Amino acid sequence: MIRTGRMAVLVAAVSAAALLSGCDDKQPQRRSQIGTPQGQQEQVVYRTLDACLAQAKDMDGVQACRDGYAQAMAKMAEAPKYETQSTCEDVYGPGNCVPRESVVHEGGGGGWFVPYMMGYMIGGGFGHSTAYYPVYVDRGGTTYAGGYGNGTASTVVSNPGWHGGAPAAIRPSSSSVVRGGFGSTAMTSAVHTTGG
Amino acid sequence: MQRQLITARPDWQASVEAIGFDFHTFDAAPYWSEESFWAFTTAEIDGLEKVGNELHGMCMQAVQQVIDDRRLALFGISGLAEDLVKHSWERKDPHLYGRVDLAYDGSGPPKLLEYNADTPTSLFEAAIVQWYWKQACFPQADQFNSLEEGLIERFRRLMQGIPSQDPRRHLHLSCVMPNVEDEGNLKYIEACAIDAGFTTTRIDIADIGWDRGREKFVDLDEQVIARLFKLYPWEWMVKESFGFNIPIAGTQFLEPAWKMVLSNKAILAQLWEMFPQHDYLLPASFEREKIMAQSPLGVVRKALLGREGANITLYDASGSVLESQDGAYGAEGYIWQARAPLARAGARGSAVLGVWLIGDEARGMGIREAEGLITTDMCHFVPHVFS
Repeated sequence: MIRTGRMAVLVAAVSAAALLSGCDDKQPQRRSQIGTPQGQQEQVVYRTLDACLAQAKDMDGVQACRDGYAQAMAKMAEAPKYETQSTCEDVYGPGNCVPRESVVHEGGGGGWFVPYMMGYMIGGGFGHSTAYYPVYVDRGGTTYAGGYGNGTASTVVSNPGWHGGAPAAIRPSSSSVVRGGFGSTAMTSAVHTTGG
Repeated sequence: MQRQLITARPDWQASVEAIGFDFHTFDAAPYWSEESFWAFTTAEIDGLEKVGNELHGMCMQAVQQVIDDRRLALFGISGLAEDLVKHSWERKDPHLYGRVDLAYDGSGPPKLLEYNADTPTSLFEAAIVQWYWKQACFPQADQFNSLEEGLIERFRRLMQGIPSQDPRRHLHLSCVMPNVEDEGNLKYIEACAIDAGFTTTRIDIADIGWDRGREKFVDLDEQVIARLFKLYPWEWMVKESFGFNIPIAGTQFLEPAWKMVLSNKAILAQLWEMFPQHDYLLPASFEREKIMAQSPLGVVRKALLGREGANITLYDASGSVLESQDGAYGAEGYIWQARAPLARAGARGSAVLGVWLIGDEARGMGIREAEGLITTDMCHFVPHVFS
């Protein structure tokens, strides 16, 4: 029944990995950096064509919105492809994938699923300041601009500024999480440990 | 069992710090004390193991009985807390660990003082620090200590049958931060969970988030908290503003909510009623008069939810106060328990034996010594051996 064992193995791991290193990582990593990295300029993303048109100052602006939307839609041909709807939704969330032929009209090669275009933007982080790109959002809320080159490239949009409303996957990080609902009793009592 | 004096290792601070023990001293007073240790016989340890197992078994029966007899109100458990207790018990939500504190001086049978079933601490000291002390000072002797193996086995069982991508393979661990002692216990439990295959995240209890959209508890990365080890009392959680989110969140808690019944000192009266005159129990009741005749050494009044010796008063047989600790508890009610002789530790001091349950098995022991008769947060942890 007793009692000795192979503690040495774990203790090495405990003291090195968890216990000692744990002392200096007290600063919690408050991530949720999507949309708030320091020193990074907000990148305008239009949720819809209408969201872009609403901001157009003149007829040139209106034309740029229309052309840009068409360009972005055309680049949906290079959107990431998935064999089934469910594998696509695993990445982009339920309801956020569509049959490829519904957005790409090039004939042939049917049966694929692609993420729904959640918006479009100029530049897309590819260094092409005049080209427009489709924007996707994965289920974790990360925003990508994609569709440059041979169909595999995409970039993370680190600080998207959504015009026309952010997609649902992004909203939790900005609005629906509340904190501080546990711990108040410990704050108001003078115990030095909550253990016993 | 014998208390023996010994010279502490000259470099004891460095030795215990090397294994990650960074809360060995509080307010300039040593909490870890190796100037004495307790030596047991194998028969005594066998007995203590048996006592731990049997008391735990009786406690599990008592939880069932308290629920069946609708007695949770006597424990001050009602409303949300009652729902959480009942549902977690019906679901058989798994538990991890607990510590039964025993009065034992080697003469009569050990007696249950209380069950720290919800938020026990001093686990790291019992599992690791005293083991290393024994290896350094008494390598030939044995120690009642398979805590680490027990914890890892227990975590492995919690892993069984859970698919590879399931969020329940990730364990969040939470306590009040910063708090060097609680975090020390937390990190040790985390290390055992990692050894069993869990991935983990530690989070300050105040940083836990509630995602109103998903109706889930989330961490600072907004990852769903599927399993939460919390070193934070249930009776506090249910009163706080996130309390009413617990039933809908789907988070599995360690310890589970039904441990509220066992960590409440009303369980002592329940046990005495179910198992009257049991060898391992002290007479206990909500009414002082009911146990007076069976309490030749006097009685002890304990707050139902008191922690670390707070709100405990000892009376001698004539009814005079022997010793008393004030504190923040007691509004929830009190229990009366017959006073038991404690093992003597020095001129005035006393020792309490804490037998650790991992799952449903007694797997180790830690001993704490107090200057007087009440074991408080000023006590010392003292190692033991047996042979």
